[in-house]
Parts: sequence; structure tokens; C-alpha cells
Amino acid sequence: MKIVLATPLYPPETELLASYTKELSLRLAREHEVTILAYATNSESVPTAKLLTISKRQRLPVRLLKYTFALWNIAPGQDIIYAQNAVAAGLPALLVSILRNIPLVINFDEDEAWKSATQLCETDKYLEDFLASEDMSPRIKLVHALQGLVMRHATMVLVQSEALSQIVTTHYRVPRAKLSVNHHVARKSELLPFPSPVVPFQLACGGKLIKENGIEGIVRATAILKQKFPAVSLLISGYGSEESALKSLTKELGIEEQVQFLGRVSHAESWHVAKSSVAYIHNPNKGFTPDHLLLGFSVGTPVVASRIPANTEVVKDGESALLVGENDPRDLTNAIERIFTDNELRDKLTKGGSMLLRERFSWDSHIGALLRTFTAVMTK
Amino acid sequence: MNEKTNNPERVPNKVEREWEEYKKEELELFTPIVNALGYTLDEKQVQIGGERYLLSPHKLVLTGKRTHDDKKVIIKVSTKVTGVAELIHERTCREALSSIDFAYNTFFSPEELLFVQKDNYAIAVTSFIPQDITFIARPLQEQFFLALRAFEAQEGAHATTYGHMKMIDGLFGSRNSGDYLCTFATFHKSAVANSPDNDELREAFVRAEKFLSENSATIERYCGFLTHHDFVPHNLRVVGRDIYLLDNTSIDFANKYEGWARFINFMTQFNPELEKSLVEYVRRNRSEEEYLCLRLMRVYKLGFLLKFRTESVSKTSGDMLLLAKLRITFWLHAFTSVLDDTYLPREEVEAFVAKQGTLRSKDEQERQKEISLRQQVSM
Repeated sequence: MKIVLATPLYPPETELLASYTKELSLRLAREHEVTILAYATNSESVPTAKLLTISKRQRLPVRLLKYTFALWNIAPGQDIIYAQNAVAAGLPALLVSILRNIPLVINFDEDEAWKSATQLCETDKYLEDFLASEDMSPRIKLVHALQGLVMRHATMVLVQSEALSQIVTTHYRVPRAKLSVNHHVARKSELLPFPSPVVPFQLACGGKLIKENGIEGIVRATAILKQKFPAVSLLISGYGSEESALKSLTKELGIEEQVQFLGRVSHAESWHVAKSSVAYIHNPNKGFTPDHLLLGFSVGTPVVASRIPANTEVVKDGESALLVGENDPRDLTNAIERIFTDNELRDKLTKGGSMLLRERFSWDSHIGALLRTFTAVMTK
Repeated sequence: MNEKTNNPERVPNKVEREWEEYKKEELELFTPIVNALGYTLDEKQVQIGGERYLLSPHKLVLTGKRTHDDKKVIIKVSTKVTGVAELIHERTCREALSSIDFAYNTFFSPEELLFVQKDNYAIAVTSFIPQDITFIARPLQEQFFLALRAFEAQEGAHATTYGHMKMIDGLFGSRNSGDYLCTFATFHKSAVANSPDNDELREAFVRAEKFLSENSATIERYCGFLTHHDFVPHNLRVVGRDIYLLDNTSIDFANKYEGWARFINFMTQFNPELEKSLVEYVRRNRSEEEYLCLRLMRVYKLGFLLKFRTESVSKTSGDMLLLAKLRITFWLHAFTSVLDDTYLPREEVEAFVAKQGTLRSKDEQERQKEISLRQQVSM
């Protein structure tokens, strides 16, 4: 198969999409002919694939135009264009796809409008609420509109979960038949210079500290657990608008000594914290991705997760994680207590998590699903 | 004022005498001005003693208090053109850092309480950031994670697009591979000129320059990142888990491993275990190219250090001269060990630290103690 990977990001950019593109090209190039077209001023070498770059140090319209021309020139003879977002790479890819009659698969890795609005502090809403409110600046509105346009006209759109496919269908009016779920690949293991021994009764959770992530429920569960397990402790990684309210709550519940707010943490520390904990808790009441569960599975720590669609679509309760009611600290407490007291259950969950990781979140499973999608769109 | 040294017979040389004169004049000028602005200088100014004259001879970094509430403050003053420009630049960088929209993973800065630029002088007063424990005094694991968090925060700001470049233009400096190679050539020239009889130094510089130029593409590849090129514990403070940058003048957009390199080279002397942990972390978790880039930047920064140390030979005498020579030998070995991709033997580091302690002047020992205790004042 001849595949064009059209990407807005490529290493040395540090974002996940950049490393995903490089790693994917290396793996696909073992059996396929891969050409990468990236917006990049500098780029890491990739020996087995062809890499073409468009400098970012030009005005946006100029680089968009150059990117489109480059793609136009690459396209003849290619079987598929796989674009790594829906605007910067997706828009030129859509034009070329239509004019050259080559199938286009869009990787809707993240909502660019939401991501930009969040980074520019224009919103602190959760994705669904942001899209529902349509409270966007003109620049973000344009990104949002273009994203929708590209996805609706692409041959196929990949999303990382069923939950996200519903959001895309609802808010971008992309037909369900055009959406295909292919889970993200778990991050590779962090190799640390020291061990991360498990600290008895230590719990870990992470993510943005906003109401939707249910950290309050975890804090309340910790307070309940303290009565029976005085050595319980909770490490919270992340930051957000709810931080001061959560700190006040720990004070109010008398568990200031048990709860530590770590703020922003490095990849290495996040790995270490999860690995040295007895349980990793992911308790959101909203969400479109099961990605947060992957850290727990990867480090081999039993996971407790809320019963939201993004989690239930991958986790089998009692097999790979324990599922609990959303906004239900009592249910969460019971689940954690089971993990504290039941060695067999801990082993079962750890093994179940590892298996799930291999089956659904590994490079092998990701590339297998990706190639099936490519083959399907090529034979349409 | 004569500097007290371990060797009481030592007579301060010309550079030291000029520094003492400069300090005296500046303090006489600024003390009444600072008082009129509502601040009082501390009687003892440890930070401007010892070897400070070798470091930044165009501004004074003083400690003091806000008169009405005794709040501890840091007061930076200068009448020199370069010093005034540096204070203005530091302020601009601090403000710019909080406003550029692609550098969203950045640091805290001490609150600015006062900035006065008048006639031919500038005064910058910022709050003193207290910390209960110094960076070096923390457990190794904590130091490791703090450092990684700080580096990842810097790496999160990558000026890549036309818009980014426009945003930082005129605010921050930037360096590419060509700049690194040109600057390194000046380090080479200066170090060799100042130590003409040191064959080992000359050979190491030739080797290093070749290493850098042969890998200039790798240096270029990782340029454009926000980096603090003097990222060392005494230029930052950790409060709770927040990292405060005390020296914003050293921030620019350059190779992403320059900050790492400065920090790791510093740890070669102060915490070799942390040096090794960070180096091995990069080696095991990042690409081969990135590991090579870290080594390239370490070599570059050590080249600068050797240039600085060889230049100081002519400015020193007595014990200070012996110390300067000792440092050249030690850092030259560190330089070649990075070129060889090895670590300095622990015994060599320990012997150097011990010998350095015996040669340092009393004022410098006190200044070092102050730095390690308070780690407040940027160098």
C-alpha cells in the first residue's frame, strides 16, 4: 500500500501527535511505502520513510498553499491519504483527495477548536459543553467550521472512542457510518533511574482539576477510607480551576495530611506516582476518552473507574478494572476497600489491565485496525 | 576594603580593587535613593562579596527590606549601561513570558515591587521568595522530578511558526546551530589564548569543535525551544511544588538541551548522582539523536565555562590563582569525559570539591554558604 501521512506536527515537536506520526511511519514502512508530509521547520530523521517538510516560518496562507501544492505533487499513484488533523493538514488533504480521487482518512485525534480555545484561555469548559455552547471567538469559530467541513467530506474519520464518535456525530454532523473507532496507543514505559515500590494504601489520580473529572468524589472517598485505613493517602496530579475548592475540602474533611496536590508533573513522575500506588482512580462524570485509564494499566496498578460510556466501552467490570457509579463516593470507597483487602482481586485486575492494553491499546492492535480501515475505504 | 582570604597575606589584584571601588561608589549613591523609595538595604551584603567580581561586574544584587512592613526584598541596581540594559531586559522577559500564548507551561517569577529607570541608573525591586529547603538539600528523587518538570515546561514552548517568531522577536534572544558554532569558536580561541601552554586544553577544544560542527544538523534540529541557559539551583526557588525563576535574562529560544546541559554540568560538581540520573533518563527514554544533542550542548556549555575560567587566570592572584588553575583542570576533565561519553570518577569530584574549599576566600565561603542556604539571588 502507498500511504501519505499528512501531519501538522512532527518531531522534534513534543506533542503526542508528533511522536505518533513518526512511530507510525516507522512501523507502517516495514510493509508499505510511506511518505510523510509535515509542517516542520526542523525534523528528526526517519530512515525508512520519505519525509517532506513545509517550513512553518511562513505566513499561514503561504504555508497552507505550499502544503497543498506539495501534497498535490505527492498524490499521484498513492493509495490513501491519512491526515493527522482536520484543518492544517486535513483541509489541503481534502482538496487533493477530491481532485486526485484518492481516499482520505482523517485522524480526529483532538478537537482543534477546543484545544486552541483552552490554550488561549478562551474556555475552561469540557469538550461537549464547549461545542454545545458555541461560545467561540471568530478565530476559533472558523477552525470549528473548517473541522466540520473536512470531516463531513472525508472518506472516513478515525476517533479514539465510541463516546467521541457520538460527540462528532452530534456537533459536527458527521454521519455515523463515516466514523471508525481506533483506540490510541498507550504511551511507552518510562524507564526511571530508581525503583517505584508500592506504598501501602496510596491512591493516585490525575487530570485537569475541574468538576467534570470527579476529583471531589475521590477526596471524599479518601476521607471515608481514613476511618478504616488511617494510612491511606492520595496523590493528585494536575491543576485547574477547582484546585482551591479541593484544597478547602481536604481541610474541611480533616484529611490535609492524607492528600497531596502535586500540580503539573513530568511524564516520569506521573508514571512513578501511578506505579507506586495501590490503586489508580479515574472518576470523571463526563468524558470522551478512556486514555486516562491507560496509565494505570501500563504501570500494572489496579484501576477503579467511573461508569461513564468512555470507560465502559473498554473496561469489563471486575476483569480489567472496577467500575463505580459516577458521583458516588460511597461506591468508590467500597471498590478501593476491595482492592486494599483482596490480593487475588489486585492480581486479577493487574493481569486484566495488561491484557486489555495488549488487545486494544497496543501498536499491533492500532495498526491492524488502521489497515483494515484503509483497505475498506480503498475498496469502496 | 580588603578582601579577607584564607591567605591573609594576599593582596587584592587590580580587578578586585576596581570591583571594591565600584561597589563602594554604587552603595553610596543608591543607599539614599533606595531609602527614599521606601526600602532599606541590609547592613551585610554577602552576595556582592567573594568571587562575585568575576561573575557580573556591571550590576549589584542586594538584599533589603520594605521599610513599612519589613518585607524581605531583592534590590538590583546599576549605573552602567550594560547593567541598566540587563535590568530592563529582565523585566521585559518576565512580562513577555506571561503573555506569549504558546508558552503556556511556564514558571512563576518573583513579584515586581518597584522599577525605576532614571537619568543613568535603574533599580529593580522584587519580592524575596522564601523557601524552607534548598534544591540541593532535597532527596535525590525529588530533585530529579523537579528538574524534569522544569525541563518539560521549557520544552513545551517551541517557537516554530511565523506567528511565534513575530511574537518573540525583540523580546527574547534566539540561537541556531550557526550561532552555537561561531560562539564556540570564540570560546576555543579565548581559552587557548589564555592558556597557551595547556596542550590538553588545546587538543580537547579541537576535538570538541569538530564534534559540534560534525553534528550541527542535530543542534539545529532541536533549536527554537524556550530555554534558560543558566538553569541552576541558585537561579530558581521551589515553593511547595511551584518553581520560581529568579533570573529571567537568561531565557531565550535556542536549543532545548542548553538548559539541561547547564544544569547537568553544574551537578557534575554538586550532585554527580543527579547528573547521572538525568543523563541516563535521556539516554533510556528519548531518541539517540536527543541524547547526542544533550552531549553536544554539554560540550558547548563546558567550552564556555573553560573560556570563563581561563580568562579569570589573569584577574586573580595568590590562592585565587591556584583555585582558577584547579578549576581549569577539573572542568577540562569534565569536558573530555562528556566527549568520551563517560562520567568523571567520583574520587576526582570529591578531591576537587575538597581542594576548592581550602582555596576559597572567607568572603567567598560565606557567599557560597548564603547561596546554598538561601538560593535567592540570581547570579
